[in-house]
Amino acid sequence: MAKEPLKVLTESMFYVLLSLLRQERCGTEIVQFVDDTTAGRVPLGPGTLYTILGKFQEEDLIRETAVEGRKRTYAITDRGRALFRQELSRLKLCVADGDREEERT
Amino acid sequence: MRKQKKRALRPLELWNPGAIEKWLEDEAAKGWQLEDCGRALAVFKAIEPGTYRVRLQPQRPETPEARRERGEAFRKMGWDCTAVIVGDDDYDCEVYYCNDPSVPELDTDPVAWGWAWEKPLRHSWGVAWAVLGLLVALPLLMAVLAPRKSVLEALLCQNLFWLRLVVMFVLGVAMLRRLWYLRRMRRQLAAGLVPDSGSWRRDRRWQQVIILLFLLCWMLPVISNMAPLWRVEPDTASLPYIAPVELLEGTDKAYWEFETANYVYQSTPLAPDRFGLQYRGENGEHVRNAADRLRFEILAKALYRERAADFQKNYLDATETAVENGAFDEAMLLTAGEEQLFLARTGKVVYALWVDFPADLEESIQHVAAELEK
Repeated sequence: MAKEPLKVLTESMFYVLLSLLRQERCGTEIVQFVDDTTAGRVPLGPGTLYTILGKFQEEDLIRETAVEGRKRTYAITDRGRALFRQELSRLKLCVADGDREEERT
Repeated sequence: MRKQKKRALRPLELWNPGAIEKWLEDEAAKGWQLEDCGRALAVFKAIEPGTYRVRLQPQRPETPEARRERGEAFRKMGWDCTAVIVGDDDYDCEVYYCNDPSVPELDTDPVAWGWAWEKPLRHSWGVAWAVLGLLVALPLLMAVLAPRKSVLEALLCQNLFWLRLVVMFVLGVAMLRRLWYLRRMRRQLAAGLVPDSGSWRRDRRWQQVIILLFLLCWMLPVISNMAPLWRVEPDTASLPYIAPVELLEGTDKAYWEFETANYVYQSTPLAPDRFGLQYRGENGEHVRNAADRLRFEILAKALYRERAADFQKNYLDATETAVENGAFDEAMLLTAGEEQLFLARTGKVVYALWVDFPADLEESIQHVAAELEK
């Protein structure tokens, strides 16, 4: 089992947080967003989506904002936003390191 | 006309989900979809044979309403939950079918998949160790639950000793096997891998054996009650016995009352021939004869030691006198006031004679020696 899983986000987790950055969304909207943004490169299965949503709620990274019929809408919290930024910085560093090494070769 | 339903033994353990998924995919290819899965049986309904992907997912703690909504969302995304497998440790597993190859996998992120399985795995890991611990501590538990009976005595009384031993052994093996599966799954999850399908046939055979044994275990009380029907009569004629009238002069048979509460007469797997007879005299004297022919000499030695220790525990001032006689492998006379216990062991036979009045046991000892030498 992954230890301290929320220090580093997987691609799926990263895109779930990304999808909620600007607006609240429900599950199917999140899947749609991830699919559009990555042009299908990051598939998001329903099992994965709902496990991530459940875990993120437990960790207070997102919260449920509305329940309309069978539609549940989620919003990112300050903690989630901070974790997203931290992950984004880490990824930028990774990319910068990769670019630098590639220029040297 | 094709049958619309069929039943099969359900998978017992959920800790090899890849194998169960493969089994259900093979069944779906033959046109059978899991519809219900209780404690013992899996019920399939007929569907159009085809290529289906089948995935298991542990049921998460949520309200029935949230579960329905999630099921609806999953269906929209191409995955249909057709059944719930009742879990072995209170953790149920949802079974999802998908026949559209363009739909993404149910779980696309191994880390999130690990989160879903984390709690059930941890819970089952603890339960398996607890069961193993219980099996190991069973002799101690028996001593606690029946403090008036020693572990050895309890074992000697067991009519179905071998059967219980086999059931316990298989239970132990099943728990070790579960721990092995759990360990493997935890390692795979830690490595970010989703377990592969593996062989489900070997798994299913093993599960069938376990289910039959569990049924047997469940039936044990019934079988235990039936055991007297085929109980073997013990051969007590060849075991030594001293009649009370020989120990107290001037008494006859009418003087001695047989105490039924202390009566033992049985043949068990570990003690093929055994009896215990206690008489009470009109003036409150007691005489007890107990003889056991055991299956193994090591048990006889243990019983001999235990009987001596019991007496010494009850009478701390007891004096021990070794009895020298070639007929006995070991023998002793324990005395505490008027209480006397003569104990002898020859091979697999243990004999005990207890009296609580002044009596000369010398002649009785010679008689017992002669009986055991035969």
